[in-house]
Amino acid sequence: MPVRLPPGFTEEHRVITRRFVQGESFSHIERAWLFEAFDLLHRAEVATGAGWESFVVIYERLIEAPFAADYLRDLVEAQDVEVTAEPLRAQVSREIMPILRKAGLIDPAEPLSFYLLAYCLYWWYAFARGYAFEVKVLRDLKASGIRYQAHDVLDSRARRSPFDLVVMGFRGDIKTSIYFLHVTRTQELPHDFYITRVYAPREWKHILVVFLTESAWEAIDGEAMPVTLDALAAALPGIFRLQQDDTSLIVLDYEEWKTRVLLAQERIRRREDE
Amino acid sequence: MNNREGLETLGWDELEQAVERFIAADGPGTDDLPADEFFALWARFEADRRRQVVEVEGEIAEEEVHLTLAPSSMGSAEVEGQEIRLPDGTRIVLRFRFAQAATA
Repeated sequence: MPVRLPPGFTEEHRVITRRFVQGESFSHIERAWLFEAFDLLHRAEVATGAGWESFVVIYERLIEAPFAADYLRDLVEAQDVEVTAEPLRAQVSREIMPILRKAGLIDPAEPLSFYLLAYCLYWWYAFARGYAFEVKVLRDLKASGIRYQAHDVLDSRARRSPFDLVVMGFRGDIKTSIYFLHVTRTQELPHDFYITRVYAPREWKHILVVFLTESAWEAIDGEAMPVTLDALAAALPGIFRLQQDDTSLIVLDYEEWKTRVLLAQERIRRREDE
Repeated sequence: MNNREGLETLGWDELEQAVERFIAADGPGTDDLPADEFFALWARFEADRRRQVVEVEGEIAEEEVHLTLAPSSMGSAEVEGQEIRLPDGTRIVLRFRFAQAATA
């Protein structure tokens, strides 16, 4: 099964993909190559009985379609999402190589097919971690009393909606930092707010951050300090106005955002009761 | 292992072992990023995206314009017929017409 890697997939991308599979760590410049490599591989193709098929089509048919529903149902039913997610991720990951081999899509005699394996592993982990995070956040919002409408992650069509939830009329997405950066690589952020999670190495913990457009911020009100992207990591926590050329975003801690949304929703509820 | 070699240089056994280690380590490199790295990458991607130039070349043959992506822009857009598709989903459709002869 011949494989065609996409134009623009350079030697650097090949090296970084091998290092990714071998579990190496990356500098942030190398990490940028990694993001680019796995975005480019969406357009890689493998010859099948149906002709040339892209890696993304193979991934969706052989990995995501058969495993996503069970994985997500187990997450939604789990008491502790993170604890449940890890063995489930591994269980599916162990099946990826045998499935591709059985389908005749990876072969020792066609080493370029190894990129399909790397591609499926990468995007399965991104998918699995992404939804574990989303389910956890949705559950927390509900427990906190925030009123929202969210897409149904168990419905495969609803899951592909362009946004994950609506709070006070504003459209938002819940994304791990990896997924978030894959979006910002190729497009302007299209929604009103984003909930994401980054790692704080000095404190040995993950922190949740919310990015809001000015209009979503005005609805919950407050003051924000101007800051640039390069200074933001050192400045957190706090409430900041992030100015990038003509785009302005408000950045604040997730708990602070929830507190302000709850107060704003309470004000709306009281007005509606009057 | 030469540090400049791609994934295709691994032997099958090496690949199987690497994948097993990868899974046992719960997908290293797919977890959330440290805050400073996250913001540095975001800043870099914003800057790259804003200065990205997609070069499309046109060849006129028998009164028809044939568009192709310039080699420098391979992978940054798709061209089909008179349509250019950008990665953010934007479609640019070019419509050509012959210039009307100037009248006195």
